Amino acid sequence: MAKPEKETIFRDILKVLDKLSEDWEYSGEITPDTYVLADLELESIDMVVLGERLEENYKQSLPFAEYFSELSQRESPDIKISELVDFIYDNLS
Amino acid sequence: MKERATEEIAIIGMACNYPQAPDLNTFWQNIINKVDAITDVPPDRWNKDLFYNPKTADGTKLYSKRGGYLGSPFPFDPARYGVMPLAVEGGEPDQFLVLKIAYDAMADAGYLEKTEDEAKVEFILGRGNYIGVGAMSLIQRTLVIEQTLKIIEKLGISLSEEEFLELRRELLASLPPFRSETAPAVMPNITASRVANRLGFICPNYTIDAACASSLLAVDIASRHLQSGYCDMALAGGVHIFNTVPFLNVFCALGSMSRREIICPFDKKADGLLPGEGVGIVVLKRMKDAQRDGDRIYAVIKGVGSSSDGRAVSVTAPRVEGEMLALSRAYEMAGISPSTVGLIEAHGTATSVGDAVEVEALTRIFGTRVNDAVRNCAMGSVKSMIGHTMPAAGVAGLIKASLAIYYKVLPPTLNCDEPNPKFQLEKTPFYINTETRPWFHGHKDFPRRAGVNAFGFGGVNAHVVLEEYSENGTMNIPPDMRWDTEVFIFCGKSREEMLDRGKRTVQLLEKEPFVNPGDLSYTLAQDMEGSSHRLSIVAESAAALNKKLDYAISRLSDPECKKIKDIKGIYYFSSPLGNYGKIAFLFPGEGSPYPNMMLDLCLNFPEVRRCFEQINRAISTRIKKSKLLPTQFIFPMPLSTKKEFKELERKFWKIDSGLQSVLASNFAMNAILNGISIKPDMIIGHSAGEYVAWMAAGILDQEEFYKRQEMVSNIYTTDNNRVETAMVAVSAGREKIEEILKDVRGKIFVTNDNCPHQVVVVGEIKATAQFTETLGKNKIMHEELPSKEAHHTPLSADYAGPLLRCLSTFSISSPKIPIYSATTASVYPDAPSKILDLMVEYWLKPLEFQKTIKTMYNDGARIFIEVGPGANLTAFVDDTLRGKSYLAVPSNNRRRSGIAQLCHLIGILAAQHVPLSLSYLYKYRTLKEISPGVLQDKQHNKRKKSLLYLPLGLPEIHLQNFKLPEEKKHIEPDPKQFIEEVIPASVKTDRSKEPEASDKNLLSLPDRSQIMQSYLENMQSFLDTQQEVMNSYLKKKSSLKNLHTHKEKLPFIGEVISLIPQKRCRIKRRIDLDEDIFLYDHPFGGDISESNRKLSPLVVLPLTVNVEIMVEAASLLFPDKIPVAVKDIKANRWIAIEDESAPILYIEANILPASPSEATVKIAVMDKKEGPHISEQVPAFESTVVFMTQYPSSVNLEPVDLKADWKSSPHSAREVYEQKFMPHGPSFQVLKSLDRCLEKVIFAHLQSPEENRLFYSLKVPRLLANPMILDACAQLTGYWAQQNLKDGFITFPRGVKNIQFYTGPPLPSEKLTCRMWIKEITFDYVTADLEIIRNDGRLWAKIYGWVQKRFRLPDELYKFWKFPRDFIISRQWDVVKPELSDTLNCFCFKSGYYPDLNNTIWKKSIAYLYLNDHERKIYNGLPANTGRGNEWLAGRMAAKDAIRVLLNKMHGIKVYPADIEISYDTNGKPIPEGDWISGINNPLFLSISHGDEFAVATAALSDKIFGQGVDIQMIEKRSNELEKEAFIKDELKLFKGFNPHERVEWITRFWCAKEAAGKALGYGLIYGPKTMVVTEFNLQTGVITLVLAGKLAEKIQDKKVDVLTLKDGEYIIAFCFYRKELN
Repeated sequence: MAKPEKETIFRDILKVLDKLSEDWEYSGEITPDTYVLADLELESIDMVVLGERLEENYKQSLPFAEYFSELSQRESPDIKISELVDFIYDNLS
Repeated sequence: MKERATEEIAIIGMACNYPQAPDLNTFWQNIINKVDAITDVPPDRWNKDLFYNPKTADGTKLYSKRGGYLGSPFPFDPARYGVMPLAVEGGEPDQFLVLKIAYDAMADAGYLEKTEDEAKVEFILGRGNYIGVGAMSLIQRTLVIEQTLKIIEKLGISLSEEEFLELRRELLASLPPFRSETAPAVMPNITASRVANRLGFICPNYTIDAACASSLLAVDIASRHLQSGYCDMALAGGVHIFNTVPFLNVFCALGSMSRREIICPFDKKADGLLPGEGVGIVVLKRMKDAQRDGDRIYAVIKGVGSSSDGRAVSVTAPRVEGEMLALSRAYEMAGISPSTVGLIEAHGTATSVGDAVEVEALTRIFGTRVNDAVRNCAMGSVKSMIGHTMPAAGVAGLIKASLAIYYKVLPPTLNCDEPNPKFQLEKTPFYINTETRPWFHGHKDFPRRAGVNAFGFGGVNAHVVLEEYSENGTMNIPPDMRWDTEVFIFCGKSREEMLDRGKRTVQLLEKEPFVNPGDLSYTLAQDMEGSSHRLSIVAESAAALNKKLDYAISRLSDPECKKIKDIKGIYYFSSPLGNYGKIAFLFPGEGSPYPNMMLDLCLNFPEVRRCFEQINRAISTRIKKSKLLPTQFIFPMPLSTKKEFKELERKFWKIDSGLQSVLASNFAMNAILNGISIKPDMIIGHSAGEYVAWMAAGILDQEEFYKRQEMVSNIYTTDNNRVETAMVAVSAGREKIEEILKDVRGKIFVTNDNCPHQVVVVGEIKATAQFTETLGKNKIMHEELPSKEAHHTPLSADYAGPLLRCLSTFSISSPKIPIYSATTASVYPDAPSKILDLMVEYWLKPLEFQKTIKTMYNDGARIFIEVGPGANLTAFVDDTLRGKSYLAVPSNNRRRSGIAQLCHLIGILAAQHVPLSLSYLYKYRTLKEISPGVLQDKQHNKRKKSLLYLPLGLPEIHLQNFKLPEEKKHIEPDPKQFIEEVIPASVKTDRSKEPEASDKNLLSLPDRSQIMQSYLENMQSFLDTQQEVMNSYLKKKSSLKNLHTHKEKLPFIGEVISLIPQKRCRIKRRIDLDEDIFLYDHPFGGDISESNRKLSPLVVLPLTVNVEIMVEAASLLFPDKIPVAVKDIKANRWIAIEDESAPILYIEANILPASPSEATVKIAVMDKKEGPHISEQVPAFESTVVFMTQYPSSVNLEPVDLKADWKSSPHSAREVYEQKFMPHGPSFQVLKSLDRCLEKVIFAHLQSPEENRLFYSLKVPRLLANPMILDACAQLTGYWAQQNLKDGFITFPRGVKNIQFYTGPPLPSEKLTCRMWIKEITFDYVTADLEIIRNDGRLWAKIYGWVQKRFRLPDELYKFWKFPRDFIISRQWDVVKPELSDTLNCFCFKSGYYPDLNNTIWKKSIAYLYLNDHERKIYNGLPANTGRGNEWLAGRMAAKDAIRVLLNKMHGIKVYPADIEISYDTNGKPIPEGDWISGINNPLFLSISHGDEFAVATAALSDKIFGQGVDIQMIEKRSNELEKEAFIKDELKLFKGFNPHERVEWITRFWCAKEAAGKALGYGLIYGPKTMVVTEFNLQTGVITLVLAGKLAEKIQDKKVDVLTLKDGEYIIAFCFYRKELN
């Protein structure tokens, strides 16, 4: 399989998020600038599950553990979807 | 301190009017909402153009123009206060302001109706003996006018006696009247006397002046008189409304005014005060009388102290000793220790000396901070919000502090970001309180106390000590609390009824977009009973509600929509869980509380507040001095350092303080749920939350537990032999962790099994380290928690005994509500003895939270409400019950305000039909039900009639109608105009003799006219011409006279949403290209299409039209006046009109309260869904429009340098338009000739367009600002920039400082002259001043500061923009070998984005030059800010440019890019089309490839090929998967021996080759990349040979194709030609 473009990864994330949120909806437009915690109201546990599901989606393991622990060092441990896209893009082989 | 001897005084009534706060409630709301009421000086106080100069050095001008000003004129109803209307006008307005506030104060105290005549009431008012408006106008009328007349006489203007009388009459008429009735009103003491007179007081009334200490001295005296029995009630206060130029000059001269024009008391950057205005009055009684009479008591005055500085160096400098004396006297009288004071309302003038001395005096009295004690005294000054209100300042502070005590809130102070380190506040008990915070108080032995300072200029000091009057500990909530979020519940007995209610609300919001959301929430809540359908919406504003409601209604109009559960706060459930599901309350434990949690809830709900007070009290008895009260770490003081903050935050994880924070916060939320009547069917606690669960279930008695809770925590905290442990939260399941733990040496245990993705582990330090290392190796996420406790593990075994002994002394009952134990994952036993065992066991065994939640679900729990801070447990439940049908919702959420999450909770629970009662939400607020058809306007108009409006500013002597007789008058038309118009260039030489006409001083008018006269005498031959001009002027004048009685329609007043004359109007106007045809003449670019003449470049609403719109809107507010100026015009965003969706403008005009002849106007583009956002975001355009009853008469024209070397313009006006210097179409082509130019000057002739061609159906528009003529400003400035600037010469108007009108707007076809002077050129802007003059010599408009923004466009863009047919933007990419392009006539073009164009209107403008109608739709549908839109556009640009160059080279045809249409065949091959196709004889092949925000395209015109393809790829490593997908094994073998670097490059080349070949063959990669196999390649030439296979081979005859690949930087580009000769 070809390495997906960022656009594709973005759409993949949206699909995974959609499943993850179960019956919760988000009426706003989700853009690369949308924050995963603040806007979509995910909790840190959801982030773990999101990581798992993305790994399943790409059928490869991604260094989420390091990534999230890096995040938790930040002033505000929130990320934009675009950051997640970049992370996946950079780490997908 | 000795026992107090004096009687206490009660404050029983208060009233005030301070900047932006016309009454007491607003004053308090402004304070707690941090409203900054400082503004520029309103024009009616003093003219800042005349008196303000920030760089003033000689003290003649003011260097600061900002302050806190009252709205003026001040509305006053004389009849209501028993004053003769005649006595009001011309007097000192503060008399009437004070009278009104005194009435309000008496009414507030409840004595307005009750007081009998001859009441023993005293009134003492602090008032400065500064010159007031009334006195000043008396001085002007008696002294200044006579002196002025004398000066006029001396100037040699000989006027007849009648003329003199007329002049005097008119000067006098410009001043307020003076009559016998007015006389008393100019005497200052009457300010107090009127109050005594009208309210029937018999004790003395007087004004006192002790400068800034005045009003507290008034309180001092009044208190003493009450104590002595001299009076029974007293009113004391202060007033100050005369911030006149002379008065303020004193402060500028002394340097005590802020040069930064910010008043920031105690801040590091503080550099002085800003003035303020206002009046405040308090009603005082002896305490025992007030108690006897059942008066409402705001606060108790315990002591008042006053003093003078004594002999000091300077009379103006403050002195520490003097201030200390006032303070110590006050505390002595109060008989209390200053260390018990929790709030200081400081004088805080923000002058460096003043603040320093004040802090010093306070510190000496209060003592320095005791070692570890926390700073416990909040400090601030209301001056930071309203400015220094001088004699009214002390009472402003007194009112603020009294309300702070009454409402138990620590009010914030503004503008202090970093306290001045010199004050060393950390060594004092004081901290600057910058946030609104509940005032918690833990001391039983004394109530809340506050001190108020007021120190007067000249060394007079006063201090008041206040104390809380707590009858029975009731909490007073201010009546008008503003909520940041509301919940709106739309109910109905059917879905239709519910939707109908929603739709009616949408209508209401359209009509009244500024409805109070609280009122609306309250109104909707009244109809909840018995409803079977509920839609809940949570929103922060009416506009947000409108948007969400609109969305919800459209979703629910589809009957298939069964539920909405939107994070943003839209909830609807057709099968609600509340109908059958059980409700579980979840009480969170450690790790959930966080700093400042529920702070806003404390301010709004006494029940919440009480829970925090309770915990304070529970422990305060034993608290050591150095220890913190729970609320001191839960609500840390503002401006804590990071270190301090971290230290406080750690307290949340300690067993004792952690438990306290858990108890307070969980019970607080429980109290709210109790308030809205939600009852749990079952309960569970998490860790320390278990204690709450025990109490909520009735196992433990709350009161008993609170009394002894410290016993429980002591068990843990007193053990010194504890093993040191660490705690880790791991993001993995229990099984996995147990597996890992097996291999860890040492004591380590699972403490919480929270959910499938979180387990918490506790262990000895070493063991934990080993554990986390393993986690790291296994890449398992984990986080060390700050907790040092080892609960729920065998490590706590030592505590079991003591805990059992301790708990067994408590009375334990059987649970009243089923409670689940996370130890057993089942329900608690009933027998108290078994419960006790389980309570101890709880701390030794792991928490099986996950399992217990499952049990609860199995037992019927469907609604899980987390009752406490944060949302941790909710996340655990969600993780545990994934896929099941349930609802988990937190009552508090760290990401939202307390109120906001409460609204979400209530919204979703109501929508799930959980039984609840909403009245609690509104219990403490005064909200009113909205009844349909309520019109506030009516009421407003009715009351207005009896009102008088008293100006607060100084009157200005001026002339209105008086005109000098013709022969003595300054000649009109202006002399310079004459020279310009009349004198031919041939006489230029004679001009050397003329004096320069450069003086601007009006006083020299006679001089100037004399010069003119003599000049004209010398120029006999031109007099005839002059006569002619003069005649035409006089003729025209009569026809212009009635301009303002025109009945034509104002074209931009679309739909008036609301209109309150002289107040506000809101208008909607749809911009419609079919109606507003003038817009076609204001395009962003020139002609762009031959085949479709109607295709227009991007059309933009011109700045001048926006000006017209704003003037029209504002004029609705002033039906009797005319617009005379438009100032501070700002274009924040250009409004582009896209062909598809015409924008709807939302225009709002608001009269400036401070200057009622001005209106601010804003234009926003209305989002259909979101409604008008004018209040929420920066409007697209804004300005202030000034109205008067007539045009101003005099003006200084810009001097004309007559000696200069005037040249004519290099272009005629026609050429300016033809050569596209200006892209304007006919109706905007107002330039008729460009006559005279200097280096930075252009004079031009203009002609107004025929207005009947501006709009399609509206033939006689009435334009108030003639935007077409006004547009000449932009055109001349723009043209000048193009001619004279080397770069950045493309300019667009960005704003205008001021447009001043002197006559009515130019009429259709009227001829005028426009003169432009370039005033300033900066990197970003060009600024010009302009004058537009009628042909009769009268000025129409003078424009100051017309600002054009400079754009630096790449040259090719600029050329293309002007002539899109003749130029291209893309660059030819020469990597295509010349021989190829010659033989095949192929051109490759690369087009990318110009980064500086991003997000500007330029980007769209350029796009519109390339795209036709159809393509524009596609482009507008692409996301604008992502790469996709850019790439797509770049592809179109490259393709069209490649084709255009090809057509031009081969056939000499020039084609507009928009005339090339590119469509695709079913295989995705691009097919170019257009009218031009008939002119070519060979087939045209096009191929496009997209890179990262750029694109390349090749176009070939050839009969030698069947197709061609181009592809571009970045050289980068491809994944193994891609390699496997794209290449067969044999191909991959070709890379053998390549180093990794080469391999990456050649894999890219192969891939690129396949893409290009696919395109050339016309099938792309639809049959898969493996249908083209690389068999050979040439390392030198880059030619790659592909052999076709599979399905592709079936379609194509030739089985072999060559692809040329080239490396260009980071990219590989591949070309493939499917040649015929290969056939």
